[in-house]
Parts: sequence; structure tokens; C-alpha cells
Amino acid sequence: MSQTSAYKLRVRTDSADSNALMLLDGGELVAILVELADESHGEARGQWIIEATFGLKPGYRPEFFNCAADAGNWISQHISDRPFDLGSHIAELL
Amino acid sequence: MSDDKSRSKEIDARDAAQALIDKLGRFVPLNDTEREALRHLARKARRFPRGTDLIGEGDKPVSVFLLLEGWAYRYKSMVDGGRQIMAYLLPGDLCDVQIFLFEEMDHSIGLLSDALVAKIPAAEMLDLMDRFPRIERALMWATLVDEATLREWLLNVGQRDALQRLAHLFCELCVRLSVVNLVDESGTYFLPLTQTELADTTGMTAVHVNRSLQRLRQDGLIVARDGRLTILDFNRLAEVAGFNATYLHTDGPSVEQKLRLRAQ
Repeated sequence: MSQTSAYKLRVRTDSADSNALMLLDGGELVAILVELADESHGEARGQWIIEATFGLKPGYRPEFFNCAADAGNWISQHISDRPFDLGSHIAELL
Repeated sequence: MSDDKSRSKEIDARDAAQALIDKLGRFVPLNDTEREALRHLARKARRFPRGTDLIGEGDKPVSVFLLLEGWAYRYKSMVDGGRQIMAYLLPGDLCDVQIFLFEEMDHSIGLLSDALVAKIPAAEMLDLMDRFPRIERALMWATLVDEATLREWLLNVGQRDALQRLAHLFCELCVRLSVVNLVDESGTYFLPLTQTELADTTGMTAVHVNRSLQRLRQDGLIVARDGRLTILDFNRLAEVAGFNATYLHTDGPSVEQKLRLRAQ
């Protein structure tokens, strides 16, 4: 079973949205999650989005997640047949 | 389009055909008889609410839609719920002059705002083109411009960055709406689009559309408020977008001369 991990980083989005997490699966980057911090997002402010993915199949993905752990779990379920709990790892990180 | 009894009643909207006359008049000099023939197309129009599909993918097209007021769009939906918007249809636009030649629609046409639409039967459209060769040429011209616009949109999603994509779209809409006199002196026009619709047009996420709109606002290029967009500095916005309006072929006089010669 591959090892999934998360690391904090900052991204340049041309807005106040800079808090981010990168998710790695077996040492390979699979996704960047970003916290919506910019005032212009209105009610969505404080939620997390999947900013970018690498190697994931195209298809439906939720636009917003209540927290980074929810977004992380959604990604981890889509890169492996066996869901694993990335969420708790993310919770520790934040 | 539903044909049930609850549909809105028929309206004589000949006056609203002015947008079509203004648009085609750019390509061909129209005489009074030709203008009247174009007005005649709008004698039986109906109002439809935003969100209505005029025709869906897979439906058999039997008529041509003439948009008199409001905005429509061409789109294709993905099985997983994704959607790509391929064109906006603005007042004065005809949705595919000869679409009835196809057995089946390969995309859908829906309404982005409340709209006034005339549904023109295939036979009437063919008759119009037979009787008025210059109108036929103007319609062919309009079709070519639609194709050129699609090429530009392809360039938009394939080659331009987020800011450029939105800037380019706003410049294009300003030029197209100017032709039908729907941009006021302050550079403001009706823009009935949600951020999700802009996202589905430009191949971006709604979140990134929002960020890019903020940037355009902060740079003093646009103001977007209450479903209206104001371009504060067209030249600078065009510079950001790399916008060149040639593909819209709105340069009347030279075109007019060409068609005048050919019509003799």
C-alpha cells in the first residue's frame, strides 16, 4: 500500500488564498489543496478547494470542502481502491 | 422547447428585429424591402425565462431561433456533470441559419437570461434566402464570423492565461454588443453571467474566475455589479487580453463594397 502524506506550503494565486497543502502518494505529488481566504469569496471563505491535481482521472469533483481533511480524504479515495485516513494526518499538520 | 399550454403567448416583436438589421447591415447594405423581410421574421416571438433550453443535444432541429432580447449559449454536457460553453448568442443573433439540415443536434442551446425569441420554420428561412440573395450572403457572413469566434475561443482556452481569457471575453462582448447598440456611453453592458458560467466558458474553476475578476477590478480595468459590466479602460483591457477585433469583421464599408460588387 502506497504511503500518502501531506505538507504545508504557500501558493501564489494572485489573491489572499495562499495557505495550501500538497498531497503526496508514494512520494509523488498528486494534489494541491488551498484555503479560500480572500474576502471576495464571500460565504465560501474559510472553505478548502482542490486547486490542482496530478494524475487523477477527470470527472466530477466537489467544488468546496468544509476543511482540509475532507478535501484530503476525497483525494485519497480517488488515488487508491483502498480508502485510507489521510484526514487525521492533515488535522495533525494544521 | 416545450409546447405545452403554459408557454408564453406570441408577441409581435418586429421592432426588436432591429438588432438583426443592425448586425447584418454591417455586412450588406440593406434596402427597405430587405429590412422589412427581416422584421417579418420576428412577428411571432415568445418570452422564455433564464435556464430554458431552446433545444437539447439529440433533438431534431426543425427551425431556426432568432434571439431578439436576452442572451443564449451553446453548450455540451458531460456525463459526470461537467459542461463546456461554446458560444454566447446575443440579441440579433440567429442560431445556425441552416441547422435544420442536420438530423440531430450535437449540442444544446439554452438561455442565460430571460429572453425574447422567434422560432423561424425551416421553410420560411429557406424562402427568405431564395428571395433575398443579399440577406443570404449576410447570413453566410454571420456564420463565418461565428466560426471565427469559435476559433478565437479555442485560442482562449488553449493558449491564454486566466486573466487574458476573461479580459478577451469582455473585449469581444463589448464589440459584439456595440454593433447592436447595447453598450452605453460609459462602456457598460448587461452581463447576465454567473462565475460558474464564466468558468465553464473559459475552462477555469469558479474560484479562479473570482480571483481573476478581482485582479481586473484592482487594476482599474473593469467594474462588475448587478449583472452589468463596465470596461473602464478598453485599450488597457485589450492590451492585457492581446485582443484584436479583426475576427469579428465589423469593418463595414470595405465589406459593403465587396458585396455590392458581387451582388450586381
